[in-house]
Amino acid sequence: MTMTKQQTTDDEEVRVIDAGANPTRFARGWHCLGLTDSFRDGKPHEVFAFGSKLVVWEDSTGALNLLDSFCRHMGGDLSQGTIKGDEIACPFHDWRWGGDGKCKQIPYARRVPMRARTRSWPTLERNGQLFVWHDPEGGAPTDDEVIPHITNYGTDAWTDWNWNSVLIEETHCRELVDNVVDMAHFYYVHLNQPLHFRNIFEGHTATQEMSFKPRADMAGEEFVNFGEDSVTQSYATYYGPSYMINSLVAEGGIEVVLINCHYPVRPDAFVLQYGVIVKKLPGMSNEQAQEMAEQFGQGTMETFEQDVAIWKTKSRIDNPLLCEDDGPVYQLRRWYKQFYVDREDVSEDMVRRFEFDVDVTKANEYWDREVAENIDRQRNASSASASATAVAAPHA
Amino acid sequence: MQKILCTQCGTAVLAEKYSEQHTSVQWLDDAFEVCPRLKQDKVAGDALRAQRAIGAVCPALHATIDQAAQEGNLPLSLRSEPTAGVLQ
Ligand code: FES
Ligand SMILES: [Fe+2]
Repeated sequence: MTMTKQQTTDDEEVRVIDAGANPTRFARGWHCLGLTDSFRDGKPHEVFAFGSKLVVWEDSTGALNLLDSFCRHMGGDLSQGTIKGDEIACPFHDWRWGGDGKCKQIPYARRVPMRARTRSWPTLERNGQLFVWHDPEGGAPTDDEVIPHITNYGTDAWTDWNWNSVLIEETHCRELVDNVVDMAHFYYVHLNQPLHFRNIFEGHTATQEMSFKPRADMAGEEFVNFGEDSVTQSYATYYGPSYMINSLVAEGGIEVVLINCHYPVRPDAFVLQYGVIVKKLPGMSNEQAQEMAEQFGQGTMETFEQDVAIWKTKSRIDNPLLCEDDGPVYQLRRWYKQFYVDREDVSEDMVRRFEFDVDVTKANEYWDREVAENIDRQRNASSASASATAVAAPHA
Repeated sequence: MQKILCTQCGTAVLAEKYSEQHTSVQWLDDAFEVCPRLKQDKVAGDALRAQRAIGAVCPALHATIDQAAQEGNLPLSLRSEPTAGVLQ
């Protein structure tokens, strides 16, 4: 059996994947749960997040409240209950819980027992979105850990959000975050060719600055592109572990802001959400602009489907083997780790500024050649099939 | 990574180059405190304007690093693991 098996010598030792294991804890930080309007319909909403179940509801002041969904009385599910005044009423025995987590009244009882308090989660409404703060240590965000305002949002010059949400299973959200540094996958997976690529990690932010053009050999394919030969400038920044603002400016004047965010459901599942607003072009009606936002929303969905197809069958890998032309995967993960350790274990190298300019010279030489060859092949194939059709036509 | 002092402001950083176009910079202090250029360009408030500043680097520092490479004081290197961290 072993006779034909080739022995590897010491100097060509096989590289073994260290798949590691998904962390069982969830990241500290602000997590976007979706558009605020989607929670304002007078009903409680269930949210599966952080290994648990939460409930969101709007009180009479218009504030959105977030509590653990399981009632501390007998475990009823508050998300199946009803909003009564400023409180959420449990469907099991009608205990009333306030947004501060306190049990306010038990209509059939003489008094509310001691320590009748459930967990209330800190919330933030910004950019038309609802955020929840998660910290396994129970701490508060620092002054630096803010979700910035997108001041274009809510102005007449821009559309409203086109928003989508999808549950991704059997995948840890680190796969999604890895994309920040993954220069080459934009060409192979997203069919866009990066012309320039830089990363900067600092504090709780991780930024990708890049310009790209669509692959000319994929002109017939469906994918997000801003027009052939047009170069798009993109700035994408994660603010904390899960909320990325990506602004895209295309040569033709199209401007898009894309939100790419997620929240963990379990250690191996997360809800991916993404939304776009676009700047209304001169002479565009509101309907036309919203239509354009929808198109970009649809295109973004297809972009993420390309990622999901990869995640579905890939291995988790803690020790990627990198070439000089790859982005800084290890430094990104060092930055990302800060959200998975206690505050006191956040080390300097996780948060100190780090800059990395990827050299895309070799990649573009190769890609330009490959694209040109593919186009040649497509032309030859179509002229061949054109003549085949010509020959076949008389028989048709 | 190798220590480089910015010729403009004297700030020490760790730098590394795999090629002429590639550069890695590991800051050792709060970059927006020690680099006058970054400090000046920092934008607060609006996310999209702030992002352009976040995505920018200090041209003086990068010129210093490129010059060190050209003069042979920062030899091109290969990628290595584990990743060098803050050495200070
Ligand atoms: S379990 Fe909620 S009121 Fe009893
Ligand atoms: Fe991707």
